[in-house]
Amino acid sequence: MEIAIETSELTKTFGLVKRLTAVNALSMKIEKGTVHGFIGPNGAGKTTTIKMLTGSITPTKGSAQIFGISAGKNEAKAKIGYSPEHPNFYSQSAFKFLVYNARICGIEKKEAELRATRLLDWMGLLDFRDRNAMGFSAGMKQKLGLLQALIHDPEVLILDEPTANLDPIGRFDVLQKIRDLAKKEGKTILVSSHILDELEKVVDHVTIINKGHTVLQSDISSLRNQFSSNKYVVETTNNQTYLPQISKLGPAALNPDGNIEVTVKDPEKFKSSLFSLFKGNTKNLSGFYPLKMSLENIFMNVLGDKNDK
Amino acid sequence: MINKAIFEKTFKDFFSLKTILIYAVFLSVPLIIFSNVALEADFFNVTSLDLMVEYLFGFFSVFSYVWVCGMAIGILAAYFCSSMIAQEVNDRTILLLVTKPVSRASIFLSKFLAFLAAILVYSALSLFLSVYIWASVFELDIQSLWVFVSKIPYFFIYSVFVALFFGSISAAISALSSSRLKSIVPSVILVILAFFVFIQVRGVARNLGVYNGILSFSDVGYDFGNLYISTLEAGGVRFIPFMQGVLGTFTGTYKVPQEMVDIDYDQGVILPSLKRLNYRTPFSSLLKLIILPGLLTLLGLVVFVKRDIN
Repeated sequence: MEIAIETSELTKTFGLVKRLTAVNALSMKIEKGTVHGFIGPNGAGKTTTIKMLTGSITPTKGSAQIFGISAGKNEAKAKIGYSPEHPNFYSQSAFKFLVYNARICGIEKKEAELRATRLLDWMGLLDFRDRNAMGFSAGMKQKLGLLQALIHDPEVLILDEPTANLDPIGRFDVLQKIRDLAKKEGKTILVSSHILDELEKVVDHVTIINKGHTVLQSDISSLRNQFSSNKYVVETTNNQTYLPQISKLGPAALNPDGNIEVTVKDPEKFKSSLFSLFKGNTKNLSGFYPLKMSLENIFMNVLGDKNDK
Repeated sequence: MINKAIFEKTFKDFFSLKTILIYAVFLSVPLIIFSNVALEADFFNVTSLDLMVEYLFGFFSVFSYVWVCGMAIGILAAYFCSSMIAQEVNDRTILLLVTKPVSRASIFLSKFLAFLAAILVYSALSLFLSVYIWASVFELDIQSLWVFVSKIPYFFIYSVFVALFFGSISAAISALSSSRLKSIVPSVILVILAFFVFIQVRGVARNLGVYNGILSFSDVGYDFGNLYISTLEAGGVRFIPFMQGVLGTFTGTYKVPQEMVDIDYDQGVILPSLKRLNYRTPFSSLLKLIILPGLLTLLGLVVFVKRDIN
């Protein structure tokens, strides 16, 4: 599989006197044509990494490459479309803004106008094409920010919190479009977001970073298997009463839904022990099933482990 | 190397109606006040039309040196160049610009070239507007008006150097700053120093015999004056001694007698020309006014290319 984005020991330190290392020897590989979630807590170094990939800041050490070309070079930037978390615009219409961005990339005026119209239509902003972009709502700005990233038809899209300012319908719409861009047009998408339950609907790979390091990188299905294989949810008629007994089968606790979440070593042995426990009064056992880990659960688990260590 | 889209947008942005109107008022109000005050002066009541035109042209030259092609164009250049990078950083639009497939050097040079093109237009328009106001106030006939219009190219050359100098300072600061105000303030201070403060300082320092070394070198107003007078002289302008005295006071380029230049208004005037002061040769001044802006522009370019855009 071709690698679209690769970083190796990527490091960024800010400040001359008071040194602050925002990204510390971060290495990751992102395959072409995938939607790659880039997640981490606030201050983990996501935006700094993205800015190094887009060439707006230069690494202190290490390297970042886009299809084998050093990040920051014009050839690398030609392959990238970047949508920042809070896109800002000039005082001009959405249409003119897109045409200007296209022309910066060397696209002829006629072609630029065609592309701008097509993209505005695709995003449902065509009715607002002549309105000043500075007066747009936060959600519309976010969408326009995404369009300017697509104007030169890049192979890689780097999106920093693309749904941050959108309402639920807008979020769903944008995420669907992001998915389509990858699946139908083969674009590689690196998307950083805090809204993990929505992110997990579109990403097929994920990189979790913390304190400037890569903590975990995997495809999402393997990750789910890895984290949910030994966790079960048990629902009883009275979870509070049964919790001490189930705790004897493995570390257990009540989850936010009030059900018992138990970690087991041997699933088969756990199942037989659980049936033995409810022998004679099986009606008190409403159900048990393997826990389906959400991206958020995985994220909390991974960072929880790291912080514990 | 020059990005056409960036050049065009930057150039157009310099010609917003608001900017044009504010600048027109900024430029013409002092000119109107000055010309109306001058209207009352004795030497404009001389009988000879030729002599009156000499005075009018002389005073217009003084006013052009200090205001039209000096302070006004210097401040405008600083204002334009401060918007080049700092404004985009402040507005956070720079992030979209630097992530596009265009080199930072190209962004900077496209914007700087747009500034140069715009300032040429503004300089030319300023001069025509000033001549028009001057001619209107003094009700000049067509022949007298031609004396002014024919010299516009020489004023224009001088104003381009002024714009380049203060624009490059502002551009260099703009390249490393995220505040437009921080980019414009040092240039405006230098404009005031060069065209106002140094007029006083220079005279006192010369009398005390301390006008040398750093003080002399930092007197950019003298270099501008040197270039200005030399350009006009190269264009065939010969100021009458009285005007040489006035110009000498402002530009520092003529040796002005302590008691100024005595003049008999009725007889016109016939005194020998004042001597030029050669603290620096016109060529040295020209070189200084080319090299300094060149270095500053280069510095701004390097800073912008290396700078992290957060």
